[in-house]
This record gives sequence, C-alpha cells and structure tokens, in this order.
Amino acid sequence: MSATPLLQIARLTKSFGSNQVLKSVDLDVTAGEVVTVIGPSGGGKTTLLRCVNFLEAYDGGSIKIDGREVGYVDNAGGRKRGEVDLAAMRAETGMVFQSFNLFPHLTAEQNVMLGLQRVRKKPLKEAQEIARHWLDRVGLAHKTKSLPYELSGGQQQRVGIARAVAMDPKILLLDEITSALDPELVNEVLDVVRKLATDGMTMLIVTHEIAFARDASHRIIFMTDGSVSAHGKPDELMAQVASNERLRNFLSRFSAATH
Amino acid sequence: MTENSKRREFLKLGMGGAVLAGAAAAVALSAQKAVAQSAENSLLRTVIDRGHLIVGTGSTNAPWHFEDEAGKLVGMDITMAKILAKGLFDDETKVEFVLQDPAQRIPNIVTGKVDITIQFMTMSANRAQLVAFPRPYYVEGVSLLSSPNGKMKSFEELTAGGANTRISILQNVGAEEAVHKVLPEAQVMQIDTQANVIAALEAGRVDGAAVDLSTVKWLVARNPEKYADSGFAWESMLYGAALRQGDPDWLNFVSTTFEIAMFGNDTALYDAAFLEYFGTKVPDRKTGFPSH
Amino acid sequence: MAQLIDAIVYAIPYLMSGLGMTLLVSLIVVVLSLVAGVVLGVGLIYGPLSLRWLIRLLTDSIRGIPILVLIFAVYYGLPPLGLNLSSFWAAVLALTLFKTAQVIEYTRGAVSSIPRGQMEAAKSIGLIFGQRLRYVIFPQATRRFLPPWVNGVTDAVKGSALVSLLGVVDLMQAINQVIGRTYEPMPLYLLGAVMYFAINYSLSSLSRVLERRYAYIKE
Repeated sequence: MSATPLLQIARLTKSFGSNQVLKSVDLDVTAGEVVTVIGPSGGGKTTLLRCVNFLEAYDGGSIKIDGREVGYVDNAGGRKRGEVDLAAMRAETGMVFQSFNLFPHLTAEQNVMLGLQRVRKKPLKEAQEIARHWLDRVGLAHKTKSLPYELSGGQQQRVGIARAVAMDPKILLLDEITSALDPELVNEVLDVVRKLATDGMTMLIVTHEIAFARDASHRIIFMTDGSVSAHGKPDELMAQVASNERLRNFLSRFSAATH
Repeated sequence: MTENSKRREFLKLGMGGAVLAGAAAAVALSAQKAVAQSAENSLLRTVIDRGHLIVGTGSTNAPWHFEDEAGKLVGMDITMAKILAKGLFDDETKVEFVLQDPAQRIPNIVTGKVDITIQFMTMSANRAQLVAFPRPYYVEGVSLLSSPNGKMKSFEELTAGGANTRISILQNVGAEEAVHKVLPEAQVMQIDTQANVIAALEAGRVDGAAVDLSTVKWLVARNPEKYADSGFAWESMLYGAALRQGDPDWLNFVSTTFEIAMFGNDTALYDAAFLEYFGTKVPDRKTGFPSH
Repeated sequence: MAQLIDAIVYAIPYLMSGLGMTLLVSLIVVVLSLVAGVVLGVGLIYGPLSLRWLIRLLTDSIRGIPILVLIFAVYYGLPPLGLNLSSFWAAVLALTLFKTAQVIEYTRGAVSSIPRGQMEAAKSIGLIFGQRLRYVIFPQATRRFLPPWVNGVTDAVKGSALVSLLGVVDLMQAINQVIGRTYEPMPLYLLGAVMYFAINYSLSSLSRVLERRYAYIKE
C-alpha cells in the first residue's frame, strides 16, 4: 500500500546569486520513513532541508507536504504564501538546528511550551504537561527549570529536539544536529533520535554520522554538487560504492566510523 | 429779505452745520469708537481687530523684563507694552507676552509670531535693515558698579587706581576697548553672564563691574548697602522696539504713542516706571518750542 | 553659609513650575521617541527595501543636524508649510525627532546583535512575525537596548533645557528668571545642579535595576 508520500520534492532548484546550489533535486519521503542525506560540504544538503520549511525560498520546482505546496500558493503561479499561511505550514514541520538555537531567556520547559501556547493555543497547564512529557522522553525531566546556559551541549540539543517534537509535526528536519557537539555527547542525542524513529516519526536527516545513517535510516541519499548522486536502502547504497567513485571517495574518510 | 437777514439765515445754517460736524467729530474721536483709517493689511488693523497685542519679550533681565516676587512679568519693556495696549484699547492689560530667547527677537518679528519685540534691543544700522524701529524709548549707557565698602567707590578713585584697578564686564566683541575708553590702564575680566559679572564684584575679585547704566540704577536703588554708583557713564545706546518692515501705519502708531507717553499728555505710566526701575525722576519737560 | 541656604530656600518655590515643565517635556520626548524609534527601528531591519532606505535617509539627516538648528527649523520652518505649532510643541517635536533617530540606532544595534538562528528557530515552530518579535527577539534585545537608551534618557533630561530657546519656561529658564531678579547666581546654579542631578540619579538607579533584571541572559 503506497499512499501519497508525505513529502514530495520535485525538480527543486535554488541559487544564491550566481551560484546554483540545488540543480533539480527529486526526493520523496513517505510517512514513518527515516531518510538520511549525506555528502561532502557545499553539496546542498542543508539548503535542501531549509527549503522544506521555507527558511530558504526555492527558485524552481516544487515541495509538497500532504499535497500542499510549501512556500507558494497552490495554483497561483509563483505567488509566495502570506505570513500567517507560511507560519501554519512551518508548524507542521519541526526543525532541529546544528547550533541548537534555544531561546536563552527561557527555561527548558518554557522553550518547549512557547510554540504549544502561542501556535497550538494550548492553555498553560496543558502546555506544561506536554512539555514535561517530552523533556522526560529525552531524558531531561530533572532539568525542566534550567536555563540553556546551565545545560551541556548534548542537553541543549535534546531540549531542541523536544521543542520540535512537542509540536506534533508531520515531519522532523534534523540539520547536522551532532556536528557541534563534543564527541562524548553525540551518543545521548543519537539515542533520542533512534527512539523517535522506532516510534514512527517521519524524519529527514542531514548528518556526517555515517554509522548512524546506516543503522537508523530506511533510505540514504548521497548528494554532491547540488544533485542526488546515489540513493537507496543502506545496503543498496553500500553496494554502489564499487561503481560510484565519488561515493567511494566520500565514504573512505569514514572507514573507521565508530564512535 | 434784506441783505443782512439773508446773511444771518446763511450763517445760521453754517453754524448748525458746524455744530453737527463738531458733534460727529467728537463722537468719532473717542478712543473706543475710533476705527483706524489704516490700510487693510496693516498690523494696526489686525491688532485692533484681534483685541489684544502680542509682544515678544524676555523674563530674565531686571529692570527691563523679569518676574516679580508674585511671578508677574514686570519691567520697563513691559511698561512700554502696557503703554501701547492703553493706546490701542484703553486697557493696559490687553497684552499677551511671548517669551523669547534674545536670538529670537528679530526672527519672531519677521515671521509674524509677535506684533512687536520690546526686549532691551539696541538700535543698530544692521538691525534696521531687517526690522523697523520706532522712536527710541531709552538711552542706555555703560556705567561702573562699585562696592560701598570697597577701597575704590567713585569713578575718580577707580581712575586713580591705574593698573591696579580690576574691572569685570560681559564677554563681548569690543568689551576691552569699551572699558579702556575711560580707564585706559585697568585690568579687564570678561565673564560669561551679567549675573556673574556682578558676583565678581561682590566676591571682591574686581573693584568695579562694567554693566548697563540701567542695571546700576536698578541695583543701587534696591540695595544701597551692597552696591554703589561710581557716578560716571559713557557710550550711549538707543533702545528701540522692533517692528516688521513695510508697515508705515503700524510704525507711525507705535512711534506716536511712545512719543506721547514720554513727552506728551499721557506720561503717567512712563514716569512711574522710570522712577521704580531706575530710581530717578524723569527730567522736567519744556512747553512751547518742541525739544525732542 | 546661612545666607546661601536662605537664598536657596527662597528660590525653591519659583523653580517648582520650571521643574514641572522640565519633567513634562522630558517625559513626552522620551515616550514618543521610544515608541516611534522602536517601530521605525524594526522597520529598518525587517522592512522592504524602499522602507529601509527611507528610514535610513531620515535618521542620517536628523543626526546630521545640530539640535539647535533643528529646534529653530521646526519653530520657524513649519508655519510656511501650514503647520503652526506653539513654542512648547515645536520644541517637543524637534527634541522628539532628534531622540527618535537615536532610538532607531539603539534598536537596530540591539536587534541585529541577536544571532540569526533565533529568528529561524522561532519561525520553525510556527510563530508569526509579531510573535517572533514579542516572545523571542525583543526579550533578548532589551538587555542590549537598555544601557545606551537609559543614557539617552538622562541626555534628554539635560537636553530639555533647550526648550528655553523658544521661550518655554523650564527649570533652566526658571533659574535664570530668579537670577535676573536677585542677581545672585551661585545659590541658584547650585540648586539647579542638585535638582538635575536628583532627576538623573533616580533614572540611573532605575536603569541599574532594569539591567540586573535582564542579566540572566548569558551571551
């Protein structure tokens, strides 16, 4: 049974000035799938992710979530969505950032509650319960009243995940969420992501953690120079190493990829 | 009818006519009913129609324009304004005062913010190119304020002091020359405000303070234990009110009113103010040949 | 010494209405410039190109004009254009324009020092523009905004003395009026200095309280 994919990216193009960063990318993600994008820096992975929640405005092609175009009004030929419309669409996608981007003036709990109260319009008590539930799920039940500067990098990132997931998004976007962490803190974050995957969360992940990608993803996409160079289930992708030189070169750097 | 009776008839008509004309004129001349026969766009017309006079002046310089203990604006400049109001409306209280910084004396006239500026303004050829001056209402001089308890009280003593005499004066272009005109060897201290010029005298840092003649008169009249008049004045600056140019009727009205207040038959206000603010009686006026 | 005290005590009642005027002018200027400055500052950062260009032009022009010239320009320059303001309102308008240009700068500096990621995180949880400013950006910007702004407030109080140039009787003018009558400047300058100091000291204390309240936000 193949339902319409939750996320449909078709012929996506994006340029920054004269530099074309995305050259016609196609990608589908079905509900419950975990798709990981890997590849060398500058290949367009992060830009792709940021187009999905319209933090970057894509130039051509289409991105649809549950059939609705993300940044542009359906059937209106190129007209961008208004502020309110766009915000509503963004509430359907959750993003976790490389540099955490927690709100420093709010406690962990308040960070998670903000969207629940102001966007989902939940009353205080309910928002608090949901926030506490998710902070507990990421292992930070004892840190709800802490301010971000009092938390370690790994803890902050886990709060970031809780903040995104608490909004009950259709798809979670993870943008190199462990790249800024000390090595010993990476695992606690990856464990949380693994748990989410097991619970059926749809995720599009950009990462350098090849081992994690292999173990936790349903599919891996390999991007270089703005287009998809190889893709498939983890074993399928590994099988392409022999024939795909760039893939081989890229992965050779991670030969001893154990953390 | 004989020739004589015809003449008598004619004369009776003429007499009646003269009486009628005289009565009409008498009515017309009453100040309240008098309508200025001035041009439509003269300030004189505007002010009369408005019902009160708008005068630009200051509030920080005794005895010209300052607030008394009760907070009321008084002074010689204020008195001149009242004289005009009386002449216009028979009511010296029909004046609205607009407080101005000295820098605004001319701009406020030129832009029409006030009808007239009466703010101890020295008449000068430069200024006369921008505004119209009616006849002057005071001749200001420079005089030396001295200390009744000091070593040098009179002008002779100050002169005798030679190079030991110290004089304070308001910072100004030409300040040094002004003092050296009469005391060629004296040391001159230029100070930023009038009040500080006088404070220097009280503190004993100078022997004489070169200030306006009117200031000397005012201070000595008020505080003879603190201040003394050295008895000598020089320079003469004509103080005039400023009006906008191109308005001959307004200019003439103000000049005439001032003239009458100082030399004519309505001198009560002027004389009383002169005595109060300068401590001296106005000199006797001569009749017969006009001497002003 | 007793004479000095006497002179000061004598002068106090006359200075009261002048003090009131100083406080009133300062209050109006500070409040108006705060509102206008923050709004225009936000427009300067987030607005469309044409708006940003216009606001930049406005602030650069005003900050390039000495405030004295601004006061007289407003007082004498507006009537020919049909806007006839009283001395009080002309002075307040000029001072407000001057201060608004500064507040726009403080706002721009404070808001643009906030990392881009904050805005992005706020967007990604679905907050609209107004909410992003209110719940995420402004609380953080306030800490950086306060110190220069409070400095500006004390400047506004000191600068309010310029209204005397248009004949408005504020504390400075009231002091000069009493001196004009008594010819005793020292006690009055002393008293005036004490009064201005008292106003500005209370403002500075208030600012310290405000700064401490926002200090928990670590850079």
